[in-house]
Amino acid sequence: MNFGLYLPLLAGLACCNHFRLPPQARMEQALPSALAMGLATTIMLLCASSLSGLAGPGHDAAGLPPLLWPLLSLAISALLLSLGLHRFAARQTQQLGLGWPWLLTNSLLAGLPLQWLLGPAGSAMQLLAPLLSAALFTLLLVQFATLPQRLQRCALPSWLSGQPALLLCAGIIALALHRLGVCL
Amino acid sequence: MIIIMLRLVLLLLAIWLLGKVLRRSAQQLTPAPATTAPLVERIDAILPQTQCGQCGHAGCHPYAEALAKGEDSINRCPPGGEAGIRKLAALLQRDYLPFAPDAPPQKPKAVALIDERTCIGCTLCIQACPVDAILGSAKQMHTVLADECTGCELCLAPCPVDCISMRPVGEGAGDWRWGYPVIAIQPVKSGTRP
Repeated sequence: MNFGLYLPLLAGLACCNHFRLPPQARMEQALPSALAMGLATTIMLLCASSLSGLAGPGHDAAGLPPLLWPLLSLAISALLLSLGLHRFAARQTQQLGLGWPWLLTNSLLAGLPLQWLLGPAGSAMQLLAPLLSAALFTLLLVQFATLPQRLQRCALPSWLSGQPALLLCAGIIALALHRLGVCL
Repeated sequence: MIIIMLRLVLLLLAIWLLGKVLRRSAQQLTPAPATTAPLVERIDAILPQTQCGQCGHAGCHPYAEALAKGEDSINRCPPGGEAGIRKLAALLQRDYLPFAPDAPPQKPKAVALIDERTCIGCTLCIQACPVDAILGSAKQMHTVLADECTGCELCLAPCPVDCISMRPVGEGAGDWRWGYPVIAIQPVKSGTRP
């Protein structure tokens, strides 16, 4: 795993997140939903890194496989957040599509590759990496939430309008991020 | 220790922001309408409602039904003009099509006017009018309600004494628009600039 794969993975994940909403809600609730999912991902990644930090470096010595503890911490943070959201804002959570399967998927796919990428990095990097990753993911979610309105203003041929144009944009963004990631 | 504090602060900040987003969305989000207008109605709302039949259908609604089923092309409504074709193309996600060569030419909006001295009161024009814009009865003088007339010209053909003519509707303060394009844009060559 390297950044050349991780950054396009985030773009693909953001694109899939955009399509999780029903078409009617995609127009009206796309931006609040994107912001909420981005913030939820930030919380999950920070929470997971805190859990990993609390466990300390001793968890390797405890006989656990190297990626089991990060996997567990990401899953626990996603499920805890899902539980909290369901407890305190069930209606908004349902309307914005913040269900536990998507929270868990985002948490694992955005957080787990970071463990490969960072390895036994310094503590500052352990703080910055989840934060930057979540910020980029939020940016991509907002990008996909606002793309349909911007594409409607373009004189696209009919066979390209709608979902194909969005998928094409996702491909272009993923390619650009791949080039950026290779340079990192 | 500083890292843990920073992480905690960021975590609390993110939770607070998520709470704000959820609260804001709870205020803004209204339940989705039970049904959206059917496609036929949305197409019909774009059509000019002249009921003229120039598209080859009995009126605007049958043409809208044919468009919704994909049985006809979007460039068959001269009264709607090019703006109408563009709106239909955007709604139906089709490419813009210019008017077909065999389509009737576009005309400025006009209303029918009955020459009252010539009218014999045959009621044929009343029967032909698709929007009931002509008033009159047998062997009585007929007249056109200018506000109701759509300018479809369907009353011209049946009149046996040719007493109906079309008069263009002048622009008033309420419907006057700038002509487009107002100023033709000319490309400036790099060598000609002062």
